[in-house]
Amino acid sequence: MVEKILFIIFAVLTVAGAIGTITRKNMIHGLLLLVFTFLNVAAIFFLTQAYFVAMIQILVYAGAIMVLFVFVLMFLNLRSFQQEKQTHRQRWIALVLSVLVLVEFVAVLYGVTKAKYGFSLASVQGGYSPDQIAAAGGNNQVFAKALFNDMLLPFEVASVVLLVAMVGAIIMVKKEKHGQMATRQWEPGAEPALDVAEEEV
Amino acid sequence: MESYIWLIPVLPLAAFILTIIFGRWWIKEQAHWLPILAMAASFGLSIAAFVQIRGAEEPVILNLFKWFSVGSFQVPFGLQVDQLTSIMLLVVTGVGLLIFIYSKGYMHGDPGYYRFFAYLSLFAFSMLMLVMANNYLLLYFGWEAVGLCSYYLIGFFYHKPEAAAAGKKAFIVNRVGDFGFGLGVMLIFVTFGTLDYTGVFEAVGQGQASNGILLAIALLLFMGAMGKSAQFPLHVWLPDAMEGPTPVSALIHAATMVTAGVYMVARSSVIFAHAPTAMWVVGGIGAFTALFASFIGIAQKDIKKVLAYSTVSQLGYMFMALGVGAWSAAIFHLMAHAFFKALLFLGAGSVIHSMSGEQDMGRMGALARRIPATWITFMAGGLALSGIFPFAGFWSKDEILGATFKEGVYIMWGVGILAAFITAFYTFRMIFVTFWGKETRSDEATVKHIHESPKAMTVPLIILAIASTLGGFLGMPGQLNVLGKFLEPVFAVADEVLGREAERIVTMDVVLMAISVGVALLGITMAWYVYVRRAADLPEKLGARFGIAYKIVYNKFYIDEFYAATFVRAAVDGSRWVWKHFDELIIDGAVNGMGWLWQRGGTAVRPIQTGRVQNYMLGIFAGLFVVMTVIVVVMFA
Amino acid sequence: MSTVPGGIPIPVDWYLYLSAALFMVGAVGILTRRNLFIMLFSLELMMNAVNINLVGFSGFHQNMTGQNFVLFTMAIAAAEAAVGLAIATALFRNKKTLMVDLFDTMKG
Repeated sequence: MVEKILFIIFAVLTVAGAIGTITRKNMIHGLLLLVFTFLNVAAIFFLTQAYFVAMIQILVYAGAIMVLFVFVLMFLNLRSFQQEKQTHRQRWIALVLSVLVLVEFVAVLYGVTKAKYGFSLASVQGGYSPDQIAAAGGNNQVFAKALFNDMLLPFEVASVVLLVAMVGAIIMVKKEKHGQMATRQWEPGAEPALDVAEEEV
Repeated sequence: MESYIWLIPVLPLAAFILTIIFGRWWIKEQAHWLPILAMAASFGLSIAAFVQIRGAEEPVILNLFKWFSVGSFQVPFGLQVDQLTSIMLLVVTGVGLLIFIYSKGYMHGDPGYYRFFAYLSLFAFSMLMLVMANNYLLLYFGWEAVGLCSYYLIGFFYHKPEAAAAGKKAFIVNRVGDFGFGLGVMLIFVTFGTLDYTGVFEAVGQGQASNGILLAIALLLFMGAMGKSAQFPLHVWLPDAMEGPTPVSALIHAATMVTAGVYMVARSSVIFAHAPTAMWVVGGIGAFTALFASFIGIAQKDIKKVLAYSTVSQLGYMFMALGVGAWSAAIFHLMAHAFFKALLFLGAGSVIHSMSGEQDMGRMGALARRIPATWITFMAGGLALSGIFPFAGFWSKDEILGATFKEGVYIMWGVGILAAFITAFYTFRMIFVTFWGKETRSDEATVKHIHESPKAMTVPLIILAIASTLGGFLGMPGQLNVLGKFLEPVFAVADEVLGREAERIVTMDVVLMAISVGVALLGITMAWYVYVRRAADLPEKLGARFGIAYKIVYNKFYIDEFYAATFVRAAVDGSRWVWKHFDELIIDGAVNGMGWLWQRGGTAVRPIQTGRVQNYMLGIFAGLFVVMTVIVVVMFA
Repeated sequence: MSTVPGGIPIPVDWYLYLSAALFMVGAVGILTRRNLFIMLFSLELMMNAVNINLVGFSGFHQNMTGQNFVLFTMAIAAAEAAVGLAIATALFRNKKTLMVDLFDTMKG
């Protein structure tokens, strides 16, 4: 029961943090709210007894990746964008669409989990119930065993993906000698032109 | 024998491949060795094949692999050697070898040296395939391949517009004939269901086809022969082909390729023997061409053009022989002609070489002492062409004339005698104008530079001169006709159809021989009178006297102009009309319309592609919405 | 049956509702904000929604694969963040803006 109450609290905080994230004008504020959201997600992981993942969520996600974001944000000094229009022209249609999709999600989830509509969500006992995990030496042990037994190859592939991402990032950020890329620059505060396709052919 | 005959065409092909690949950067100035060696080896193998095929009743057939296999259309890639092929092999490889050697001297220093030898080798391969084929399709392959090589080699000096145009002309005019030939081959397959010589001839013998069909086949095949062997309406390409290097003229446009038509008709003797009308056409066109071309030969100024028309005329003789069923006489004349005409062309090449590239006889003269070896061998060739005893041309031409006389086609005989007279006249006009006279009518630098050609050129000339002198004894009339007897098994069937006795004994008709030698001597004497005795005034006087006639003959009876005004004009105008009304309107219209359609359509849907990533994401979510809607509807409905 | 006896005491559909909500919040952020960084944040939100799903089902099915997979999602998120930030940096350097709807070079 306590878990359920805690879950509801953290879930509400998560969604609130997320909404805060996407509504902030100041990117730093948004970023901090994002970290807050991640921490709440980590809390939900704790409640699910996924301790290792929860710690990784805090250390890597809320820690390392977010530090990277902060670093770049500070580095680029993007304060000037706060004066600009923050939302896209398609915001209303997008909002309506998103709400509709969310409603549909909820409806489908409701239909699936309530087994009233010919569906049912049956649990498959994978042999890792909380008691079994405790008996096998705790979440970390079980997690590691599963990872390095069943997921070894994807694990190695993930490392390669990270390497490639690193190399790519370095190459893209590297300054070119001659600014060959620059083709068209915008003054701060520019708005997209309301152009229709003009006859060019 | 089956073990090696495939090497005969393959060796020149290998030489071609190696020379064309490595010639430019590696072999360069040594490019002549591979082709000459390959040709020599082929010649040796041809001799071996010749020795082994002697007296054999059946041809030796070597099926290398299956070439085409489409339903009932089965064509093997098969080679065949019989007596006729063997003679052709000897002529092609023998004369070819000499001309290859000659080319080493003649083409020396040319920037396209390796290219020249590569093409020559390719030509040798194609020609050998042509004569060694054992079915009509492979023959057609060789036929087209020699045409292609001819195109390459006529246009060898491709930077010269005339040479390029001449190559094109040769190719297009040959297309006219080859179109007929191709139709003939198709008709053969449709009628007999096979393309193998043996199968087709057997089927013809069994009367599987009506006379009309046989006539059509024979005429279509002859159409191809007319193109390739430059017979009357399609002869126009051969004189222009003289734009090619002289060895090419000697090899392709005198000795071998142009005789492919004669070979093909002789090879198809069974078909022609069953279609008497076609034989009349062959003989008639041959006789007309013999006379017609010799007329033009009188008035030409370019030494190679004279020889070109002479070639056309001599090919006419061969077809005349084929027309009266004297198959072996035609092949005999083909062989003799290969010797002496190659000799004359190579001699002309030697003259041109010594004159620093001058081809106009009007600017030569008095060359006899300056280039004696060329002169003597050229004389031998000229005497052989004129048909003077005992040179090769005498025997072969006489056999043809004798055959026409015996067949009772006196008009053909008369035409042949008249053409022989004119031949002697223009041949010796050429010799007298070139070699006789008091002085060389050219500029000083050229005169000073006159020199005998190198050994590589004179040795082939001497060998060919010997062949032209003595080659005739192979085909002496009567019991002594070695060649006729040798070829007997090939033409036995056709002879039987024509009702000839198996023993082809043409009695030595001294009177006929005397007449032909007499008119030849008359022609020579007249030439001597006009161009040596009274060289100072008579030629001009005659030219003035027969002004119009001379002009017509000099302009080759305006055939080229006639073609330009009719066929070429019609083709060009028709093409232009089609271009304007069909291509531009319908084809271009369809293409442009399609383009317009997509352009309009593209413009219409273009705004969807805004280039802004969030619009695309909205699209993705719209898709998600649709999918979710479907799921919801399915779930709750 | 959204909970398992002896398993995690929280019903699995709660995770799913939370995940859906978080995902759609992220989607709204992606679709409506012009700022490239906010869009990247929204992407992270959506990935976290996925992670919640994975962890929730891992508890429900008493299976470790879900949790293992979260690790890979995080690896991909890290890679995506690195590349995305690099692109953002390069873009900002060249175009002097990060308003995504101004980048329409690829328009038809």
